[in-house]
Amino acid sequence: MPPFDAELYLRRLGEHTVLGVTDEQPGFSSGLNDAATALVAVEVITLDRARAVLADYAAAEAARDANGRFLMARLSAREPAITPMPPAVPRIVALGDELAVAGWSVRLRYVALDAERTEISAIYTSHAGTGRANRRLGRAGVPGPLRSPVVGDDRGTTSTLDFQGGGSDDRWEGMLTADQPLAIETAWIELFDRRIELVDVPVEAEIEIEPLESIDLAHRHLWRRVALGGRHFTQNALGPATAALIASGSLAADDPAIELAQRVSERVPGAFPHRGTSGSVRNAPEPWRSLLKRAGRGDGPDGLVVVGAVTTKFDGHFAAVYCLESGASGFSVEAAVSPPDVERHPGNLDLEDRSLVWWARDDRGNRYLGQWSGSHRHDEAIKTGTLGFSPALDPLARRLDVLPTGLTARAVISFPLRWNGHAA
Amino acid sequence: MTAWWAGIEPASIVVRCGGAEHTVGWEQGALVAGDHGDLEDERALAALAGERCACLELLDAWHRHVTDLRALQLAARDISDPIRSSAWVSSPGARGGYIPVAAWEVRGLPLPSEPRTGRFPVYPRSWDDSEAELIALLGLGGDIGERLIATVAAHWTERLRTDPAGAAGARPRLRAALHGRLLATLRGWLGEPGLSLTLELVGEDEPRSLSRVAGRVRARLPFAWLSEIWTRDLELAGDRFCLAANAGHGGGWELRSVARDLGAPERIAFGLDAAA
Repeated sequence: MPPFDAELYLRRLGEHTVLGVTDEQPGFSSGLNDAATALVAVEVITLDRARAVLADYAAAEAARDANGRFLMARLSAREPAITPMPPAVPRIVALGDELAVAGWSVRLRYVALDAERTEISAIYTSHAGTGRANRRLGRAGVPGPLRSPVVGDDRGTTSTLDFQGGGSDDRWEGMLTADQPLAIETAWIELFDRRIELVDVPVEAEIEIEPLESIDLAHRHLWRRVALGGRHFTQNALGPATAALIASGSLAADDPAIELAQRVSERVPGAFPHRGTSGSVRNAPEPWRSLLKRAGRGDGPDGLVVVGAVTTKFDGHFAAVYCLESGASGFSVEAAVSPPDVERHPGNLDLEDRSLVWWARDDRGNRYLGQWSGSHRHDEAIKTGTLGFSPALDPLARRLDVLPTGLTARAVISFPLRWNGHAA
Repeated sequence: MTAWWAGIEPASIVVRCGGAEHTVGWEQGALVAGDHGDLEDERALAALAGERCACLELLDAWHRHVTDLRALQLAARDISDPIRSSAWVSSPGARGGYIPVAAWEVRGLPLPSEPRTGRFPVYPRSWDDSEAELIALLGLGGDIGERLIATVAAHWTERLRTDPAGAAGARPRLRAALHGRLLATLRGWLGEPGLSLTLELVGEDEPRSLSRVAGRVRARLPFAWLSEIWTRDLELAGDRFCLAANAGHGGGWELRSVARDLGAPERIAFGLDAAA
């Protein structure tokens, strides 16, 4: 049998994609991208060579289609390396105030202040309660008085806030961003004709960096793919990656991890698309077993914890955790990472497999897995946004470790769950 | 040996050049600006007058890509796989920024518009000028794009013949180019959209075959098959798959081919003599 030629393997896959042999849409949700990422991960093809193949086939698809949908893959394929930068840690103050404005209930969750920005996390709930779930992004449906309110501080600075977020006709959740920053040390803010005192709570986070146990490259890649989420619109999210790993000889075709990983990927709480499966996941390795045992629970506590911690450099990354907000079905963490993680959206490409996997664990042995659910602002070097974690936080947990995990090391950001605020 | 362009029909397009309609044509392996005399004289005259000569610029663009391997990745695999460079060129805003205006205005090919702003974001350019030029050439119409592929395929067939070590780095791309076109041909011919193909790339003088093994179609073909058969539209002659072709008498071909059962190859005459 001739030696495995990774470039030829990818180019044949590219040919199949151009010819429509597979149901993949290159540059959109492409199996070619996944196969290339897998082969780079097990070091049977160089990053540059894989990138050249993807660029060739993205160009081939673009020459056949005028919709521009291959543009993002094309850009990603040429994306230069980003030098990691430590994210700034803003002053974060939990609010928890609930105001009545123009027939809406406005719940202010927290304010984040630094030299460049002032952001206020808010939830708007209509008193009328139309119940229509017309989900959209942006602010087009947000009532006028709530869309661009004015905020002031104790130094006399006033600034117009701009709401960005998502929601339905009777509930909006998002971030109000000031057009110019308020004073970081301000003792209060004024918003919707109310003065709101800013009371700092000491941050008690502890940070450590831990090396990861070594694992063979193919299994590491397989389980990272499960953790980072399946591809959209496909029946077999791991198929192209596992096929490439098998073809390259990196994984045996009958390796039980292949089927187990597929079954686990279908059970991961909060994963999209979540399909469920009849197959057993009892043999799943940790941390997956601990993750799956609380799947489907809706008993998470309500509240907010201010964290405000940034790591030192680990595995080529800096990571920051600003605050955590918990609800019945899960919890979210405002966080930052540099270089930015690549979200698993159609067209995005993480050929270097550099994204962090955001695990968390509590003091009761439970595990949680986070996925990015949006970015707050665009910065080439630092991604700042919200991580949605599943399953629901154990109501008896008293301490949480957030574990941004790279290829060779992870950070442990550990803090007590001392709740601020009230029900979401 | 048969010239690589033997049996390939001439092709031409009309180009708006200096306010007139000129014909640029391909014949016997060369692209020719038929309405111009000595090209270097024309080039000098145009430079002196500060004018552009669209025919010359098209010829220059062609010569920049006659060995361009990217053409094999970008170009059509079969007739059902058209390059839509006209649509591509005309929507630069959605496509990735400014697309250079080709100097050669070809009838039927819309010129690029300026990048759109507003509703559609203008992204940083994701194409280089050379790639944009190549895609535009491949989508010219009048079979000129197909003739460019024939030229590129012939060049790399010759490279493999005369400088195999020098062409070694290109082998995955050449093999993939053959694989894609072979697969497209076989899928349509055998009516099997999900056909599985194993291609073994062999030397030009080694035995060629097409067979079925455990449900998979197995082909042993050289890269030269593209230049020798595919670019001449001989791949399916008389409802038979053509493995090899030699020029016969009277402009016809002597083909070594297999029937749909992928049984033993047979020699058949195809073309003028056969028709006579």
